[in-house]
Amino acid sequence: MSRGEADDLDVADVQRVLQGSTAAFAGIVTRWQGRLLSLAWRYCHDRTIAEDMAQEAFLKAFRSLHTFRGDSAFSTWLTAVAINCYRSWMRDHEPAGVSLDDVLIDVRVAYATETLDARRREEIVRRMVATLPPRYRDPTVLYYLNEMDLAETARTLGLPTGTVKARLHRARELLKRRLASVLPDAGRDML
Amino acid sequence: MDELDRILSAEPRLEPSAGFTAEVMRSVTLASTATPPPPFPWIQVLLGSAASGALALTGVLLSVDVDSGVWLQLAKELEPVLPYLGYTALTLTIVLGALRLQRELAIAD
Repeated sequence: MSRGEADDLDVADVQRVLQGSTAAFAGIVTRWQGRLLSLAWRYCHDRTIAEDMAQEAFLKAFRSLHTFRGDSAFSTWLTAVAINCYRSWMRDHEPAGVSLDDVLIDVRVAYATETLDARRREEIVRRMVATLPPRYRDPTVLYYLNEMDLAETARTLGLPTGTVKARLHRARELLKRRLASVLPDAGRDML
Repeated sequence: MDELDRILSAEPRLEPSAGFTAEVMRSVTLASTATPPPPFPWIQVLLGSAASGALALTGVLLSVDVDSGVWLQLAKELEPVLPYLGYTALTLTIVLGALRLQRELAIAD
C-alpha cells in the first residue's frame, strides 16, 4: 500500500470515527500498530511494556482524534501523539525504561561469560540509544524509524530541521563516546 | 552510511501479538462508552467562596470595632426587641424548613 493510499484510508476512518463509528478505529490500529509498537520498543526494549505503551498511545489518539486537522499526514500526527505518550510513560515509569547501568551490567556479564558476538554488540548499541537524554533520544529513535528521513522527523517533533540535525549530531557523539568506553576492543572499530 | 547508521537502521520491526488489535479496540470501546466525569462545580465553589469572604470580612469588622462601644450601644438599643427577634427567627426557620420539606416530598413523588 502506497503512502497516499494509506493517507486516504486514514482520513476516511478518522471521519467515520468522528461521526460515531468507534469500530472504524480498528482500521487505523491495524495499519499503524507495527509502527507504534516498534517505536515503543525502541524506548523500553521490553515486548510487554511496548504493547502497553502502544495501547495507551492508540487510546490517547482516539480521545484526541478531533484535534487532527489534516495539516500533516495522519501518520505524522499519530506518531507525534505516540512520542508524547511514550515520553510521559518513560517519565512516570522510570524503572521500566532502559538505564545506562542496565546496559553496562549486560556488557560486563557478556564479557565475563563469552566473546561479544556481532549480534550482541548491535543489541547493546540499540539499547544504548534508549539511555540518551530525551532531547537526543527522541530524534534519534524517530530518525532511524523513519528510514533516516530528516524532514519527516522534524515535522513529527515539531522542530526546525536544523535543530533536529544538531541534536542527531550530538546524539551520535554521545553514543560513540559511551560505546567506546563499554566496548573497548570490538566496539571501537565497529564505530 | 557508517556502521552506527547501519545498526540503528536495521533494527527489526516488532510485530504485535495475536490479541493486540482486539485489546486496543476493547479499551477504545470502553473509553467511548464511559460516562464523562462530572463537571467541576464552579457555581458552588463561587457561592462558597463569596460566603466565606463575607464571613471573614464580618469577623474582621467586628473585631476592629469591638472596643469602640458602637456594638455595645447597638445591643442596648435592641434589647427591648430582642425577644421578638428570636420569635421571628424561629418562625422563619420553621417556614423555610416546611418549604424545604414540601420540595423534597415533591421530588420524591
